[in-house]
Amino acid sequence: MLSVKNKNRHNCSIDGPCDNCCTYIEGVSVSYGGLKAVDNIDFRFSCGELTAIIGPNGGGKSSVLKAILGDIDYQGSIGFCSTSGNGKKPRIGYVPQKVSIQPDSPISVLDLMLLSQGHLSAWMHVSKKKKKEMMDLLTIVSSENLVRRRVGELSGGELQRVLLACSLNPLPDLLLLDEPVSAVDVKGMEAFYEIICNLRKAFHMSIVLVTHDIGAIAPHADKMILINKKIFAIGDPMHVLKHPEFRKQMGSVYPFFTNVLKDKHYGIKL
Amino acid sequence: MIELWYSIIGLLPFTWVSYEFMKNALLAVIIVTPCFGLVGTMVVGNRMAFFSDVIGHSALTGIAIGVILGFTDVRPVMIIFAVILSVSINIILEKTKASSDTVIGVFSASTVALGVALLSRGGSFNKYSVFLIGDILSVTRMEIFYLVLLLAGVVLFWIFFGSYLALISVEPSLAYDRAISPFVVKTLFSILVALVVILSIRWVGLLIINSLFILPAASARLVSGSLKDYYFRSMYISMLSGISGLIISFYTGSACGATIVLCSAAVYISILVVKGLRRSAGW
Repeated sequence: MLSVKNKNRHNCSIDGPCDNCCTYIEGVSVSYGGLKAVDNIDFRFSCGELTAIIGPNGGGKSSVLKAILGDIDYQGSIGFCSTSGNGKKPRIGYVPQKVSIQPDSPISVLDLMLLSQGHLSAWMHVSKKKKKEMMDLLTIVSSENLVRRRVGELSGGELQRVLLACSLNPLPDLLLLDEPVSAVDVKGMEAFYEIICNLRKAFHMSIVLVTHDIGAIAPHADKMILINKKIFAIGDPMHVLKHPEFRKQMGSVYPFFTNVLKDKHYGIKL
Repeated sequence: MIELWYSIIGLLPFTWVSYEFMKNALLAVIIVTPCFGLVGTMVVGNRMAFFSDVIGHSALTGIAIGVILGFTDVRPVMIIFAVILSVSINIILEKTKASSDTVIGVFSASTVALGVALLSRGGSFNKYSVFLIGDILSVTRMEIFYLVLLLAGVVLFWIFFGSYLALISVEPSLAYDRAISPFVVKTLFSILVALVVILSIRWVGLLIINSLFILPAASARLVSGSLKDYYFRSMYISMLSGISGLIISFYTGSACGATIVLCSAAVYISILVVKGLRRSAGW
């Protein structure tokens, strides 16, 4: 099973979050036509840590993600440091926000997984070993029963889990999720967050999640970063949510979140 | 090779097998229909149905330019024009991010207008109507050789890029770490579509060529639960309709291309009906 093989792949002695191996972002700025979307930010995503990036719309959350992915130009440096050396690029897994799959598409879950791993052709014979590998990945996201289904007929939550499975091989150092639960119902969302939480421990990877769903992610995240062009607050979720800047930056939505956070379900008191 | 084919097909107990043009046509159909079936799966999967339609229509303009430049065989000009057109459409789509039906619509209308205007000078448009209707019975041995090359090209492209196209049809960002960009693959694919269309338009006719891409793939989509099924069923359906269309057209005397299209339409409708019946009967 993958977990045994890969748990200590970074040679860290620490089981939880550690500073020895991490993805670092130093002095990163992103501009669109002279307009700064992200202005000189620094932070680290440690392995084994789940970080939620929050902030108002247009505050540069997605730009940070795109910069890390290398989709857009940026100034500053982004790299990965570990005990085996600094400065190399982290291996990134990416779960897109939404996919434009046609409902009548004949692509099956197994097809999609093979394709996303760069399997040359969906028409060739697939070896038992390869199939087993895909099943293992699906098992990690508790979706092994979906393997024969067509991607077009999956529910939002099922599709999101399959996309997550696709991003897990080769096992990434850094897993990026862009508003992963925007098309998922509440039950699917909780299941999804639970899987994510297990992943970071089992595989010692840093997970970064851009989300609007602050109330739901707060109990799961190890760290929260409030971004609106610059970093306004960083630290454990309670620290950020109580920070005076949170009310300032998230102004209009604040009353709503107060209610959500007071909800006993999340066990958070403000 | 081709002699062997003649003797094998001559064994069949039908009247049409005694005609050499029918033997050639049958061979051409057997070679070209898998091309359509396979390219069609990718055209439909990547929502390029409208695009392949424009390439078909651009043939008219290619002919016109070839005639004006004084070529006796206008096919090279047609191919060059279609390739330039498909690459430009791709570049404009990529640069402007405009919606594809608008961009393609603009090109479609303009190229057809240009072609008709140029060809109709002096009232000589009728000469070119063979390109509108198509005539597969006129296929020669040399042309069959071209079709074999075309089939090889299509299969090679499919082997190397078919999966990639399927992947970006779901979500382009899933392919972000590949060495080659979605834009490059889409452009290569559109060049391939242009080649398939132009090399076979003489036999099929530009009015209906696009349905040969769309119908088999659309039928296969209705009955496939995996990509493998999708590709192969589309090819089978395409070949089946091609062969039956050719034979039917021999007896009815109707245009072969159109008859083939009608056969694939019949397959599509039958599948729809059977599926509908099954669902309502709860089988």
